[in-house]
Amino acid sequence: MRISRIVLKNYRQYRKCEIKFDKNKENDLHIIIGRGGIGKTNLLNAINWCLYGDEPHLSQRSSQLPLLNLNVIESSDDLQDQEVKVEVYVNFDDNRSALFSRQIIYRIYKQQKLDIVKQTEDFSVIIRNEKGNSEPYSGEKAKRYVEQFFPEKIREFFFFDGERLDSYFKEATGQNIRSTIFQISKLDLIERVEKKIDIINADLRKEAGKLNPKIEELRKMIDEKENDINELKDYYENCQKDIENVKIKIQEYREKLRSIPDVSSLEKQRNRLKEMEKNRRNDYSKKETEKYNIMFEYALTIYLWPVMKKVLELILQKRANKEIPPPVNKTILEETLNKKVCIICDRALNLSAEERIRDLLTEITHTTEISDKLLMIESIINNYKENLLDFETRMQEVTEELNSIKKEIEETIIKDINDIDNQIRGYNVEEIKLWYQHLRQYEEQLNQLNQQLGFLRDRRTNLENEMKNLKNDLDEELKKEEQLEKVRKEKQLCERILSILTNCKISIMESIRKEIEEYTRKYFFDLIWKKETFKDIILDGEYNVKLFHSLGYECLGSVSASERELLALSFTLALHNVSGFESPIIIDTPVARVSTEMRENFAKVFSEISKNKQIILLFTTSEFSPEVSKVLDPIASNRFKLVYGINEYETNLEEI
Amino acid sequence: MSIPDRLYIHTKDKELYDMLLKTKFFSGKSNKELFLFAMAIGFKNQVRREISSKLEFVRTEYLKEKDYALLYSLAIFETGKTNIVNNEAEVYKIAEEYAHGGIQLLVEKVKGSNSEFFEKQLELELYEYYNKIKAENE
Amino acid sequence: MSYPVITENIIKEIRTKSNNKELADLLIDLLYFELENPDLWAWKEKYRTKLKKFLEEKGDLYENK
Repeated sequence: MRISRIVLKNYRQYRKCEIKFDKNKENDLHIIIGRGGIGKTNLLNAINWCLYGDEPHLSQRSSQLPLLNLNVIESSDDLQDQEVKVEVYVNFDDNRSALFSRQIIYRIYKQQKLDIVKQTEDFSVIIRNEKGNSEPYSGEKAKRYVEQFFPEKIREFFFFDGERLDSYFKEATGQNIRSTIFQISKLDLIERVEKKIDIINADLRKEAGKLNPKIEELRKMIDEKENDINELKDYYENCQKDIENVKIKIQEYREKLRSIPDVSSLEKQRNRLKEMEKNRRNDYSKKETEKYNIMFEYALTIYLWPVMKKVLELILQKRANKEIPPPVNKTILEETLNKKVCIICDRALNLSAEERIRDLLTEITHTTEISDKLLMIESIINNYKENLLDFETRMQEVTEELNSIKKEIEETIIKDINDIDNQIRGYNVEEIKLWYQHLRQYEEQLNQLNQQLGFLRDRRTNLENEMKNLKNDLDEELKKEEQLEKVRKEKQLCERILSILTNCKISIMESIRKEIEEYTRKYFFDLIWKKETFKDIILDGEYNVKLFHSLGYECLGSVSASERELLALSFTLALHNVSGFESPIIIDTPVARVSTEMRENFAKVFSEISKNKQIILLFTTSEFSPEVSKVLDPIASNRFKLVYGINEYETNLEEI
Repeated sequence: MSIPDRLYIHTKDKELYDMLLKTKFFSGKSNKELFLFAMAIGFKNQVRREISSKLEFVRTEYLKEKDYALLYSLAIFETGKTNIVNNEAEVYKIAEEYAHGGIQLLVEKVKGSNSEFFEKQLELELYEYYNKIKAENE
Repeated sequence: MSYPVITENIIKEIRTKSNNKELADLLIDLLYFELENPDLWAWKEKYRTKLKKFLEEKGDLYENK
């Protein structure tokens, strides 16, 4: 199905405008370019207005202006009627076509103050079959045709506002998508029958109640229980909504923090490293002291070496001269003096001999003292000499140890501290801590909500069990009475029917969900420019769309606008495919949020999609950059430009 | 002649020794150790100075045999006579005068640079002397 | 505004979930009836007639299953 033509008469800026969307090339792609403010978005509004009677994308400015073109108002006389009309021509694959037409007649009053009063509004659909026979419809029947081809509930899935694609999945929460899928699943009929059978069921209970008061009582209790269950259902749904919102918040903060390091734990690590640094520096200082002690110790020896050397020489000399130890044995002399007889030769001492020996003894004593001291000095100095040899080794050892500690401090500890500092640098630590705080708060909130949900779920189970028991009791009561037999059987049948219908609904929704998921996946991975980045897309049981990075984590919030937009497009195409709706896709400002580098990719995507589906793109002049025109100009079936007419209240279309 | 039981320094040198104690290299060292180090520096530079005003500094009862060995050796070297070892008074005098000469130099050595530099310089100097000694004995 | 339709998918599901041909036929009948007579004023009467008829004619078969 494709739009072949749009005709606007006096609709806002468009006084008289006809846009033909002929398919001239392989790509059913049509481009309309217009500066900001010229009325580009109002083209989208025009189509919406024609089909549904409303204008969902009105700018602030436009919403304050009347529907009727200002120039027309200006040039009208008092009491003149003017018409606003928009027509959308559609062709179907089977040679049928349709014309959707909406018109409003306004009467202009200019006597006192300017007033524009709506006189009539008409909406009609003319269907032309393959033979060429036309049939007009208006009112409800006409609306039905719109519903058939452009279902209102899901119109945002074919008439896009490109600016809002960014928040597509944020706002299209599980609930929205769920109701869309419900729409696609065409379960209205089942629901209608369901409602009616439910009413009958309630009636049957009432009937039974009238015949038997106990049954009446049970019936009342069942009704009350039903109310409780419904009330609970509301709480439950609200809780789910809250959970969805909190999850969005959590996702937001997680994305914010994803690329930011966990500052508090890094700070803890840093403190630990600082402590380590302090300790190692202490160790260094101690080792340094050790080294200085060695130096102090050996300095004496080294500086006094000449002294020691000389002394050793002297002592050696004395020894060589047999001056040390003294040649005369002091003991012999002492004994000789005592006995007054020479011990060696046994001769008696005369006086002069005695005196000589006494003198000798004094000298020897003196000499011995010195000699003893010298021997002590010699031995100690030799010790010093020997120890001196160790100077080098000991110094080397301690220097090596010092160096290794220093190395450890600098190359490991300091480096690690710097690494952490680099990671934290540039981040506003307080703000990040605040984000973490918020994240934790939301996570806590989520816990509580989940708990609440669990509690509600349990309560619901309890209520349902109680309900079941009441119904069983009712059945029991019913069984007792023969006249109620029929009623009971009918009630049972109703309940059976209800159960089957519910199961059908679930099953159908589930298979549609799976199909959409599959198609979204297929389209996305077909069209994405970087296939390896992403691993999967799922549409989960709660109807939330999830995009998975090839590394495994969910990344919908953190991918670029282009990728999000592509996902939105893929999802839409999947919806089209599964729902069987073949409507064209119209996108206003399609690449507004897309970075310049990505625009070419996007242009290629549009090119690809337009091989099988009509796409109409409304670009601003700045959007339609060289990257885009390079790809789209050669393949577009039509290219138009919006220009001002006689003044800024009038816009015309020009072919490029 | 009684053997003196103290080693003396010049009165003015006290504050110099105090200053040394404040440095990392010398902190925690005893008076005896500081005295001997100053003495060694004095000897190294061959500066022996008379002390005009004495202040007691080290009790000789704290001197060990290895300390005596150094004091005696210095005296023997100075006088050329080995029997100087019996003249403790003279031995001490020589040591004191070398220490008196040496302390000024030592303090200059330490003060003249920031303390890290002193240790580095000292290390190099010790290695220089040590290598000469090693070469001599091979 | 939404307009109900019947699809083959729905029919298939009803047959599977009913597990009983007669019952499935009844359900399908009800769905078609709703489709063809969407805003019937006296719908309750018509529905109940269908239910009662089913019970009378096919009631035994249904009960036994």
